Amino acid sequence: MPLYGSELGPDITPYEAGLGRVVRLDKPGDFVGRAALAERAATGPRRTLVGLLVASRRVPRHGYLVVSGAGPGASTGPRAGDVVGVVTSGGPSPSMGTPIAMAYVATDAVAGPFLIDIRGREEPASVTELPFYDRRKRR
Amino acid sequence: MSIPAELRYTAEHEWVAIAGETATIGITDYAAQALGDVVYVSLPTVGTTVTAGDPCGEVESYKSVSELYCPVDGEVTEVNEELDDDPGLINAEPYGLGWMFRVRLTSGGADTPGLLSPTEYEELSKSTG
Repeated sequence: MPLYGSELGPDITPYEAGLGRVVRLDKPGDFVGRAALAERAATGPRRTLVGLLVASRRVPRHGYLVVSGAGPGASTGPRAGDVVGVVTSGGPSPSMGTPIAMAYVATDAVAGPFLIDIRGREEPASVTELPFYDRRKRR
Repeated sequence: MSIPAELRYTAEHEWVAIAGETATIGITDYAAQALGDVVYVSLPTVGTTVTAGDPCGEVESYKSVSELYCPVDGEVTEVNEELDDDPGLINAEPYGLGWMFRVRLTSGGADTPGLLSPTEYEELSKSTG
């Protein structure tokens, strides 16, 4: 769930946060930011919120950089080592058994693989669906 | 919160047990309680030369991550490998099974600047906590 101050803020659009459904561009009357949001809705988000599972016991925290782990063979999109995003929230997850994080990453890099720079050492991370845990599905 | 009388302490909430040339280091009960459940510790490698006051590892809990500082000068001779499988030992027994690493002292020992007596440490943890 996006939290104001971490996944939401004045410089993040609802489309990036996965909350585009709450914006009604066709409602009667104008509202602040309508023109800007209409433009963003038409062009698609530049970055998007993803869930990450970390293949290490070191825990990503708010503000850590997400780096592309794409191999040298990838011809389009970001190259290995490029910074492609930033962690908004992270913590150890007893339910998942690994540390988890949410991060905004560039739309063209969203497939991963990713590395998260955890205080100077990069740890591999893979994309997972949000929400991280659904007890109805996994029990 | 316990502060054993036979140990020395640091302002970073670590304890040091000095026996001859060997110092055993861990974090205090106060630190373990303040951090909450520890999920991961990164300790220095055996053989590393450490200097008092320098960061030499990390302690990660659910809430946050803190640096571990080396309280004395010397060479790391042993690390507590049990903590890798069971970091909760730090919360359960911060002064016992939750010890972190041992250092062969090269200088200073109990006279290393910055080491606090139990009374001094008690004062410090009261004023910060």
